[in-house]
Amino acid sequence: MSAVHFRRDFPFFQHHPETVFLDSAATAQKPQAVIDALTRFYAEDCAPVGRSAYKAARQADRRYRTARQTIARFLDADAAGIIFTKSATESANLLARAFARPKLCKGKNIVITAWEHNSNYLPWVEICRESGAELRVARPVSGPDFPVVLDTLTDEHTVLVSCTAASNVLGDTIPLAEISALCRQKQIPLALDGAQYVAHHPVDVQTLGCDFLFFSGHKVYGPTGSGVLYVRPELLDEMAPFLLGGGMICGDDPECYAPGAGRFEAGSPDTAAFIGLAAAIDYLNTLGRDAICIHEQALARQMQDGFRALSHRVQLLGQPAPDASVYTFVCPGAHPFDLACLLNGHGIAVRSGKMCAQHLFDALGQPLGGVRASLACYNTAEDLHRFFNGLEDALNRLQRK
Amino acid sequence: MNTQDALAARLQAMDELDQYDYFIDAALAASCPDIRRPEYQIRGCVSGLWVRAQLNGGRIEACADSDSLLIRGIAALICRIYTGMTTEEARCTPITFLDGLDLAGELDNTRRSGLRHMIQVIQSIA
Repeated sequence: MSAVHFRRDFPFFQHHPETVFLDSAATAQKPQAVIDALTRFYAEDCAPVGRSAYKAARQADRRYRTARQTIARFLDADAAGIIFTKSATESANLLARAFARPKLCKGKNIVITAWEHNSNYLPWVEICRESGAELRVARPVSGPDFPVVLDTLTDEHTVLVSCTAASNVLGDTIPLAEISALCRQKQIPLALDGAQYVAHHPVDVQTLGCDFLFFSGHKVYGPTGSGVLYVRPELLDEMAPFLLGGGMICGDDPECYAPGAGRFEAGSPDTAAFIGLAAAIDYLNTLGRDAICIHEQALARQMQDGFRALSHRVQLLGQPAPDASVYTFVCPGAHPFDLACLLNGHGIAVRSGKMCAQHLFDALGQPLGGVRASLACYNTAEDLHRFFNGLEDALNRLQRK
Repeated sequence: MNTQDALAARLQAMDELDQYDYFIDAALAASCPDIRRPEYQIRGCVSGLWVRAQLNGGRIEACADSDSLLIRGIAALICRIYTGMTTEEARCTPITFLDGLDLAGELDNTRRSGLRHMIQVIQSIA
């Protein structure tokens, strides 16, 4: 299946035919199938879930249950361990509050890395501050360093390792199998932030060997307002509810919380968002994950060749893997904000700044941040051709002093 | 038509890239030596922004600098508008030349609070 075929499924590009969208690491565009699923729910199937016995409510219940099963299959996980949240950020906060916080006290520690997005950084800062526990931040220089630096920092007092599966800034490969083996050997639960990972790699939580994995729906072509926290089902009983309210009790007994994931989903859920997320996953499966990977790998090769061929000096941060979907760069004499504005003048959408990873840019010695171009299945070779032409022109304009 | 109206009309007649070129030219033409000190730094701007304003014979003299060429150029144009005014005249002169530009939305999001603060610094110089 060709890139043009992928692209035509996304109505955004019919409305913005001249736009080169290279900001999918921030949010991905939505295929028509997802928009249809959302519209259909609100137009035809709108009813509460988990509360009522009438026909429309039962239909909504069925769709909602199916969505959970679809998302579980996407991760090769047990549906019992799938908790619906509103975002990766909420998932990380839920994990921090419900699993880690009750176990933390002075003398215990949490281990994260300097490559984390703030969503997998600030929750740990806060609960460690509250509990008197220590937050240990591993500082790998490159992807292959992760197991060694994590090994150095973890010990018998480590409550959890929470680590990005793919950085939102650097395109380096992170050796997840080695990290997982390390955590298993030391019997430390492992959480993976999959926000930048799941749209680009087939995911199997059994093979990954993680105890928790979270991601946002909107970065995997689904609706905003949908997030997922996978929990290895045996660990659900170790978690205390985070939000309290309707829909999370057993029957009529408000003193008894629902078993499993249900106790973590208090309140009326964003039913449409999860039905939409399931539609996004069905869409990806229809395209074929292998076909998407092959297409994105070709884009990655073009991207890396394009950076090498630039006539201006441009520094790619990190060491992008052959299949990297994220490219962050800096250019001497060109502020990232200026570059992003000038690229916008060419119809090219990129992100500039520190991408919610201020501590990583500090570690990289890049106080001004960088410019990030990120790929998705709908990007084409022509997009990248225009991107590099636009970048050359932007640098010509900025470096004429 | 006053200076600011003429500037706004000129910018409105340009496409986006030409507007950026205009701001970059203004940045390259501006000079504000020895200003990157904490006492001149404007908070609330994602890129570094520094402004120095003083009165000379009752008239404002202002200059600015930024890490970003676009922000430096815009700041230089703002300083050019206010330089030579009295404080009272400056307080009665809102900055309008960015209104309606595509860039204005982005500045509203992230940086204009810094530019707004810079304008307040200039207008309140006593």
